[in-house]
Amino acid sequence: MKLKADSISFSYGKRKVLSNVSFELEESTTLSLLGRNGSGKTTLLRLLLGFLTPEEGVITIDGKDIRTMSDRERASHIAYIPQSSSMVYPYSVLNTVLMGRAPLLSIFEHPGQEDKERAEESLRMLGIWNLKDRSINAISGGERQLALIARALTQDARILLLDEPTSSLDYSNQLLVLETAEKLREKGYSIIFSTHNPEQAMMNATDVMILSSSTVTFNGKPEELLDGKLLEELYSRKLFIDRIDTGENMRIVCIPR
Amino acid sequence: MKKSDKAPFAILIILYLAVFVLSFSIGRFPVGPAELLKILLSRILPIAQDWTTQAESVVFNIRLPRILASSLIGAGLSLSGLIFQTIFRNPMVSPDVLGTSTGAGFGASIALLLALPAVYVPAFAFIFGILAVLLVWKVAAKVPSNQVLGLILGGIMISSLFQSGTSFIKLVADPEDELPAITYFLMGSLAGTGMDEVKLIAPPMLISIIPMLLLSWRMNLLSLSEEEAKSLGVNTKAIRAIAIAAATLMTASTVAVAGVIGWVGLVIPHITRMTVGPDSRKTIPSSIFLGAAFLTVVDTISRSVTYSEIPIGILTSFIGAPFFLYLIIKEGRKNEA
Repeated sequence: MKLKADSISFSYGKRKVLSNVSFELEESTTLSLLGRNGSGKTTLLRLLLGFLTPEEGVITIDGKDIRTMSDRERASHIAYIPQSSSMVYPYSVLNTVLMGRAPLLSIFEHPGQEDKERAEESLRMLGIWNLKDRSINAISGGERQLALIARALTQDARILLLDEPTSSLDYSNQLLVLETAEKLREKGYSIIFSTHNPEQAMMNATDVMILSSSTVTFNGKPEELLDGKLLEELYSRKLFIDRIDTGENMRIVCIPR
Repeated sequence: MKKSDKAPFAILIILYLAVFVLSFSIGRFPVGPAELLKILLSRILPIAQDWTTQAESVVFNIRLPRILASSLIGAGLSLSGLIFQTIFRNPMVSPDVLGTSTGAGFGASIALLLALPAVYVPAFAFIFGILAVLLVWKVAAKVPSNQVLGLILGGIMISSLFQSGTSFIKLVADPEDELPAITYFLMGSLAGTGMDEVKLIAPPMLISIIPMLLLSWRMNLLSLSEEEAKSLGVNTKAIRAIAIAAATLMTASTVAVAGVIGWVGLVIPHITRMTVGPDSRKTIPSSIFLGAAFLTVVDTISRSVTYSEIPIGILTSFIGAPFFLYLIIKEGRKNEA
């Protein structure tokens, strides 16, 4: 499944937020989105999800314009994982994950045994089966984020969009969510996540895209950012970026000088 | 549903059936359970009459319509409260808080003032009830940073607007004829309810309950943010429209038959969620039975504790207002923690 944005532009009123943005997302790749506050990361995700319509340009999934798709059809290809937040009513984790079946059911239809099995399978895949009867509000932020990813998997979509998935999580939960995303990529899912952490963007993605002044200033492999120039420019800070051998693997570190 | 999940629901049905039977026996003219059973069964089985005609008349002409009406009204108010709480993602709203009841009361008063044929009373109640909800919804949309505040303050404002409209109608109404009719009507009472009222209220209740049972799973999805729901391919607008129409139709019909009976739509949905959890597939059918049982009990009290009947709306306020205070305090504590 291939997601493609072809020179898309968007503005809120007179303020241009995105201008001439193009990129492709192949199967089994993870694209991390970097950019300062207000650089258009969230707007780009909202365009890809069909919440907003680009003023110019076109977004396609396997060559098909997403504007021609119904909400249900789009939902069968592309899933949205919002920042983890609590719900008004404390549904069980299983019932929350089961909501992922919505695009596959008609308006008056209730999920059946098969749908429930798909939800349970997603819970097992993410290792949170033991939480299935807990209230979605009574588990940790990281676990809730995993439950939302499980819901996306239950949706049968192959493209997953995560909006700052680690922003409100503690360090171990951040790692848990990012490692889960990596495992899903290995299974063939395509992933886009936005982040404010350049280290995460380089360490946990196959590709990095930088948005600045409403345009794409970089789209390439994490290694190409090692010289630090682009990131220093982006954050207006002197940075120290290097690859180090932890003894078990090679990791990228990015710290201020 | 697993077997264990069905237990609380089964208990609610049994509770309702028990209330149904008991309410027949209780009243100023007591009818024993055995006698009651015989009288009821005599309509379908050939049983020799060993009871007074008076007892039979009380059971069929007075208590049966009254119990059916209180059950339908209780079910309708409770379910509409649950629906509003779900679609507005806010456990503190109800048909009263959102101004639906006062709007409906205003509509009904207009129909009474103009001495329109009986069918206009529920029709006007519905139109103004839905107008009130839509207005409150618009107001809340203007306060996106705090929707709860928007809904509750909007509700107070719109309610008070319709309330003054109703007062104005009372002012210009004929004090001999229309005024007592309107005043008594708005008080919230089931006194004098007969089979005609039951026939009037049953169809709109069924029309509203059936689609809500079919939509019950989708109602869960309305707890998600608008964008999350859209990303799941859910047409929130269509579901909201059906749900608001159903909830308003139920509230307006109850107002048209029994006037404004407050608080049921706030209290019962809470107790329902406490009993069966938040899943709408369970709360929708459960709130129907619990609401029916609750209002039938309250109505039985209202018609039997004192010599002259206490209007039921007064009793539900006595129970509902303290409960609302309890919820506010509990919510406040939770936010503090």
